[in-house]
Amino acid sequence: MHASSSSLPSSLSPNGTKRTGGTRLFVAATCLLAGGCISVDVTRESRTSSSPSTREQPKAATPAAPSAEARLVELGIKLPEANKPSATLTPIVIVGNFAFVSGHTSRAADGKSITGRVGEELTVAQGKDAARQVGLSVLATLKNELGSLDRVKRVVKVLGMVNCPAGFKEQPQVINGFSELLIDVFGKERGLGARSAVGMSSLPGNVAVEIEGVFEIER
Amino acid sequence: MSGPDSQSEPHQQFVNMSAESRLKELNLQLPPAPKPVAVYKPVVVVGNTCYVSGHGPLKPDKTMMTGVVGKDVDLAGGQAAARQCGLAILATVRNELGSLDRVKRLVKTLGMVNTAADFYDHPKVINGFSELMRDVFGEDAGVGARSAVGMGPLPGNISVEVECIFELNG
Repeated sequence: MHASSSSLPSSLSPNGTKRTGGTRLFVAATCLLAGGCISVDVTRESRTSSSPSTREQPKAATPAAPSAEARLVELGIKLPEANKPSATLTPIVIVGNFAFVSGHTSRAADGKSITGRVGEELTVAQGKDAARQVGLSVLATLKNELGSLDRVKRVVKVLGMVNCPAGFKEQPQVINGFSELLIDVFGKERGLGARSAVGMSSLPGNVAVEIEGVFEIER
Repeated sequence: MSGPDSQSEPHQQFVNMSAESRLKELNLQLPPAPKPVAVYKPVVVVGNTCYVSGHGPLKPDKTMMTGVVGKDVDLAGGQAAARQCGLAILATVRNELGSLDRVKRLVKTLGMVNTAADFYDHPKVINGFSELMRDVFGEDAGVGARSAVGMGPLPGNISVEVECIFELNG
């Protein structure tokens, strides 16, 4: 097993959860048998559970929580058209304060699938771009369902799946394309979540990347 | 129903029926609720959310449907395996919760298909599972978020493994 844990705080054991001064550190480790590609990602959550959001305040107005919608404009990001539901799946399901987002596949700005195995037909940089495109697609789905990205309180958990050959080891670098976009849009506190980045033996239509996620939302 | 593309979907007739009634109406035979084969629980309930472990295509005779989809098993065989995973999950959920009528909706599915590297029809395979859920729980409650992906290999060379999340009635 190859566990990439460069971002692991030194005080944290790689297989546990620890409290440090009121800050909870979550470790998400997924061992999916997929071409022997396994990775471990770590994140930090510092949300206090005793501070319910007040509707009177403009959402996301504090420096720690910039408006995601304003960030989109600032970054000049144009979202693609949101995925449509089909007979057997819907792009997003809301349960209470959680939004469960279906696996979104890599598509270019023109709507065409970005295909190929990363580490074979595609470079890591191209794979990373593909992961960023998935992020734009996921944002489009969230915005379409919620009306505004400012209703997203935080990224909870992401499963990033890379179409790659058995010996490929750089899934985390590829999925960073998705994670960096979400940090750009939501800020580090809200945009960085628990994550697993793994290799898949094949993906639908031979797409390069597929990513699903769970988000906490304002009801 | 015979496959993912059938037009006369039974779910349309059973809109107002409970999941248990639909199960009976559709004459579905559930396999025995599978016992965990390693260190995990088949189901964990947290509040109103029910997390179901990955289930393989367990048949009523307690054997699994095996083989690589696109190589040893064709698309229809893969769909049948995905459907069988669904029946095993229904058996588990009923066993754990007492009745399928406690399920409010299907939230999310991760469908894992044991495939060759050049197989690209994962969504069609996992439709075997999704259509079963839609038939049992209805067009709205039975259709959730989903990812359908290729895995190689899967435990015991099973053709499909599915894990999912249900929301339960409060």
